[in-house]
Amino acid sequence: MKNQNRTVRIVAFTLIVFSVAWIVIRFSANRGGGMDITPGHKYQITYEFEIRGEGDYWVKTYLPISTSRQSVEAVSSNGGARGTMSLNGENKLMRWAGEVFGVSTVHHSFSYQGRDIRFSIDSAVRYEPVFDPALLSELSATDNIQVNHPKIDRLAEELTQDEKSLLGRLRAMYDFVYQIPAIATSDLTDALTTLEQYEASCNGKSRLFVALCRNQHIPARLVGGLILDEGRKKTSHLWAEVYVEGLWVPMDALNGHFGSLPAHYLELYRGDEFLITRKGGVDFDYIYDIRKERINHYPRFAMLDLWSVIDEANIPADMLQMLLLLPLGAFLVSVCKNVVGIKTFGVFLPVLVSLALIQTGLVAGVILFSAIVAVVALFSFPLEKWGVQYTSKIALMLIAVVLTSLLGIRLLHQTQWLDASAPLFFPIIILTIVSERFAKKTEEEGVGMAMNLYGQTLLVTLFIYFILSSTVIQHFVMTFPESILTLAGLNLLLGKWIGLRLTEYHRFYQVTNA
Amino acid sequence: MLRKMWNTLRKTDQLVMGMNQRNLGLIYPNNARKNYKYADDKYLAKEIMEANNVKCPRTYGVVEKIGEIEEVWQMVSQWPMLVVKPAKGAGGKGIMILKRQGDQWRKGSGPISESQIFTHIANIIFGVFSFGDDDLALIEEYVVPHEFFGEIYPAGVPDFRVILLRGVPVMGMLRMPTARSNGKANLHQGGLGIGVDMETGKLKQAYDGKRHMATHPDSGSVITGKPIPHWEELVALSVQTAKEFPLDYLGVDLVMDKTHGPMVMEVNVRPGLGIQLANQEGMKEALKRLKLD
Repeated sequence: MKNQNRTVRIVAFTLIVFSVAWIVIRFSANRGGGMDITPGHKYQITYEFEIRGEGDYWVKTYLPISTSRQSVEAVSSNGGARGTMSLNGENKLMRWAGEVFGVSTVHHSFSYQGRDIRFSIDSAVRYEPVFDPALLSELSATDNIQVNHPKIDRLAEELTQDEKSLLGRLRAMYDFVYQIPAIATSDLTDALTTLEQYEASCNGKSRLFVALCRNQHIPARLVGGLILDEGRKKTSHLWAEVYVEGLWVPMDALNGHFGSLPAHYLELYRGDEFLITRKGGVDFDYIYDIRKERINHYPRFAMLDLWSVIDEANIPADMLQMLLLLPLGAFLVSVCKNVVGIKTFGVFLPVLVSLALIQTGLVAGVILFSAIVAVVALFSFPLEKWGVQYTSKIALMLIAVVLTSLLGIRLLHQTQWLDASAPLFFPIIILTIVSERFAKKTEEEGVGMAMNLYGQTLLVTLFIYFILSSTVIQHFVMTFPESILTLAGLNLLLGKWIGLRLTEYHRFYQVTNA
Repeated sequence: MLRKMWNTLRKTDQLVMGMNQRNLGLIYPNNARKNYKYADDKYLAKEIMEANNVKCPRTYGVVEKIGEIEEVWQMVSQWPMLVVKPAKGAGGKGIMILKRQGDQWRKGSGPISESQIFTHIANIIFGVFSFGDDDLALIEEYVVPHEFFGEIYPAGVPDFRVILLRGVPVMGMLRMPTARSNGKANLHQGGLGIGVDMETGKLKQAYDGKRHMATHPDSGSVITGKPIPHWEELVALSVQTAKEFPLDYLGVDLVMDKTHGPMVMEVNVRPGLGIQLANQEGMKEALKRLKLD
């Protein structure tokens, strides 16, 4: 008995000390990461130009510059051409020139790392037309941005007349442009055409939005770049920026980014420019090759570098994450049960339900889950009354869960209250077992006791939900799967813990109060 | 104020046995998992008791297969009163008490046909009351409660629970139904738990899950101080039971028949901790007193 306890303690402490030490070592051996455990992405972009024909040629294109949002590093440049760099306003322009006999290629690679940005425009900021000469080019009309055309005038007037705030005006104009049907075309579409045809791709929409802004004397400009999806593509992207209180705020009225820009938007140039210009007389082809690489800030000494496993083996990250969160959830349940003394329906039910709630959303998920349990529990009563045997009863209740879920999907689809697939996130078996236990508890000890136990179960579920839904914790377990060994050690200690549960102090206080 | 609360908490910690310590300190080290079945299965329990002359209600018949129902019934239906129960049922589920008047069987107050009884026995065998496990039906002698109980409260079947560690009786309690508990004697179903002074065999105070009291809440009869008849015999029987079962920490449930005196109903490997509230004594305290800690 004594020896046994000592062995358990030694094993537990070994697990804890070993795994914690390992994590500390990884923290210090991977200094670059600091405390940042959020995995980001790094991209390598290669411009691949191919020139066919005979004679002289030149190609000009923009190269990205590093800003507070994006950091860019040149990787390599090769091919049969000389490259010269120049600055064109704020933009970095690269020009390759050479002679071709047959086929010539130019490859230019750079790496990119960016972050999401999000601006919030205070609705208290009043709209004031800007007449700053320094921003003249961001306020003026061009051939393709017909700021002062009567149709643009009228539309801008209609959209903004009731709006006093800058935010309201921008919203109205943005929403109008956003709602224009999107089409896939790489043809240049000007602002007026976009309005007249009432359909456009990114470049038409962005020009119309900029035209509307400038019409209202809100400085606005175009930004060209690439949306970085892994693979090879020809499509570039155009979005807009508006000038708000000294800052340029991004607006993408095609993909629905109002005041925000995702990390995988590479910014290449500002202004209404062509990304590639070239000398005629030779055949020209181009492609952008984009490679994505996950950055794990702690690659060294990992027992298992899950981030690279995810990328290499193509494992869905969210499913792997569920797997890694289970041990933590189960540990929290045992703390709730054995240390606090809360009772729950089933040991792992709260873990599985809280993982499902992460998918469905908290309030809606709890309502949906409770509704299904309540409906299915009702089925149990006639079955019990008719003396249906246990295995068949469980099978029948499982059928009831499936039917109720289908009904739920139908209703959600009609009401649009929640994503119609929401009932599918709850493990069907868990729903069945809870419903059965709930019904049994009701029968044996009354609705009050059953509700009480259900309430305690929900309490534990919510507690676990709040911990497991934290992205810091999610990233931590993915980055440091060694932490599972720590949990194993803690569980082992907990499994030998003989103290009173917190609720038992309340239950038994009358024993000592005598 | 805070100091007083802290002292209460410390005292509770020192005296009261909690679930964690019960499991780790009493149940696991004293009972091998493979022997739990002698407590969980009433048929196996009875086999041990009958083989060792532990006084228990007489078994009239056992039905193991559906085909045997009528045959066994022929044998047992000569008795005027009997109890049909599932061997692996828990919490009193599936127990049917039958009384015969001439050729007519009655369950509670209403008549019941033989085919209804057969259906019930078949349900037991199918595992309706034992989570789908195959089960068998025990048909036993009906225990007529001793007059002693009637003096306190006349309805239902009260029983004693004695908890023993390594053959030594540690704590005891009498469980009594109330109007609220619907004939059941379980504490969490509204029954009363009445502490027992193990030395003298006298009843201590009653506990209804909320309060302690000296009289029965329905009848008003005085409980505290009442001596239990056949107390010595009851303790001796529980000690004998503990000796015959391969379980070193167990709860023995006993009933007291009007004519035959104490009899063992069943044994339990996980006796509840509410017994401490009924006795107003912590089990750690009791173990210390008995030098069993």
